[in-house]
Amino acid sequence: MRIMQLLEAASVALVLMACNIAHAGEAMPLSLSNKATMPTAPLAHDAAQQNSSFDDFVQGFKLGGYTSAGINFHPGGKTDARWNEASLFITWDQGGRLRFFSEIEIERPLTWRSGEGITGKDSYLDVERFYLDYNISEKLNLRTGRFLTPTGRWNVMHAAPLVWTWSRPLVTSRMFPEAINGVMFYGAAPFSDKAFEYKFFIEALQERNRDRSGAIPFNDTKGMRFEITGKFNWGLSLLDTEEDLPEGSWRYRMVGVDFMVQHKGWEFSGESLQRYYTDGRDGGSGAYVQAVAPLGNQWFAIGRLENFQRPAEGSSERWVLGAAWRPTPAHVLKLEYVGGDQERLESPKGVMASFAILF
Amino acid sequence: MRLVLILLTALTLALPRAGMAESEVLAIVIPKGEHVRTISKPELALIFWRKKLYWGNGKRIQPVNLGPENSLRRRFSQQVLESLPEDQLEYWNALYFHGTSPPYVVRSQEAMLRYIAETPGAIGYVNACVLDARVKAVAWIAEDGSIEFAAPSINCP
Repeated sequence: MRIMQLLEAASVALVLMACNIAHAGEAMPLSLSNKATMPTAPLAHDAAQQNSSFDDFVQGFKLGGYTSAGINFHPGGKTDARWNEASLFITWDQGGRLRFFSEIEIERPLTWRSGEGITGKDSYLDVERFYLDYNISEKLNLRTGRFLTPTGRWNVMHAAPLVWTWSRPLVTSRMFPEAINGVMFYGAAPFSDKAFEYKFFIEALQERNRDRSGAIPFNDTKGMRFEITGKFNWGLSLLDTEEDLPEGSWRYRMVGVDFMVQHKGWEFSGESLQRYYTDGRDGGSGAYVQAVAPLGNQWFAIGRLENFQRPAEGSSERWVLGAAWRPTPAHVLKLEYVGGDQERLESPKGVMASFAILF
Repeated sequence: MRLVLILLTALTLALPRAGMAESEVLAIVIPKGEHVRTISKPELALIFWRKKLYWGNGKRIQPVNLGPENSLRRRFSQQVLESLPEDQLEYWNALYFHGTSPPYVVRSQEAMLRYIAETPGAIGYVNACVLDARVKAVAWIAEDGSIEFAAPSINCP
């Protein structure tokens, strides 16, 4: 059975279990609150203990998620609107060394295109993340399962309510796998008056059905990331991966640097990635720089410049001007204009408006 | 006589200020039964940013904050995390996206003391003048932001 199908089946089972658990918890509040005053007869006591540990297990679960929708007026006159995703987080944490996290997403549940009407045919279920974290020591943790590839800054926090624009720089999605199934060692330690964070990861299971939504298939990925975090955040990413395209497979080595600084509503960030074939030839590159300025009343102005070039796709340049309104930290309305050279499927242009909610 | 009056007035104005300054020392507190080696300021930041989740013995760290409007929280936030609570919202959203919640929040210093005393692995902060035998102080943050590991002399009201 394919690994993604396995993960999806496990995720659906987990969601159903979490829903049942939540329902049971709501229906039996007295049984939870009264457990300490139950009769002390041996059988009843054993049952109470079993219930107690089950209750503890159940109370370790938490649900959350996000969703977003948007509309894109393309330069040629065409328009499309999309319910982008409905994403559900399931966490399990009992306060011990072991923790679980999963993100299950229905991608593009509904799409409307001018002249075509509404369709759900672009929709599919995706297990974005599904992993266990185990604390080995104070500065060393182990993650196993499916996780977002910790390369650059955007990829690991790409959720619509967390980023300032609906459009995503190509360099953050088409140079490396967005997620891998494998193992990661990570941790953090004080470094001068800042923090030093590290991640070492390697892919252990290949994903087979990755051709959805035009994603590039990658194989045999391994890499590392180092960050200095504090008021200024700097990151260095190193990656070794193989692009597995129908016309052939090529192995790449990649180096990336990124930064982010925030102060009183202002934010400056950027990423730059350079890939090389194993013989040293240029295997593609890209970068973006983004600035966010507070306008008052929770409105922010956003500007971004980006470029991208990949051997199989040529090059692309984009500029983005936009505004975002965050009435609460969990809600964001985004308006943006994306300009640049030729429009492409993975990097649309034109006027975009979107709304995202984190819950 | 005028000189005496001036001196008395100056003394009256100066004393409360000195008292206030000394009572503004923050004590970093943990449960009485816990054993934690010296905690540096960057390490405190890691804990309260929830980047470090476990003590050396594998016990989960349970950081506790006062409410975002509390002056002690704002001072702790500014001096240890180098930002105010309202500027940290995006960070906590991003961490929530990875399944980690921000530190638990209590409404008062008394609630902080009770929570710390009863929660294994907990760590929080109170005004050094309200310290009592229920908890153990492991560091003190002076008004200028410097951290000390021995109890400073404080004149509490």
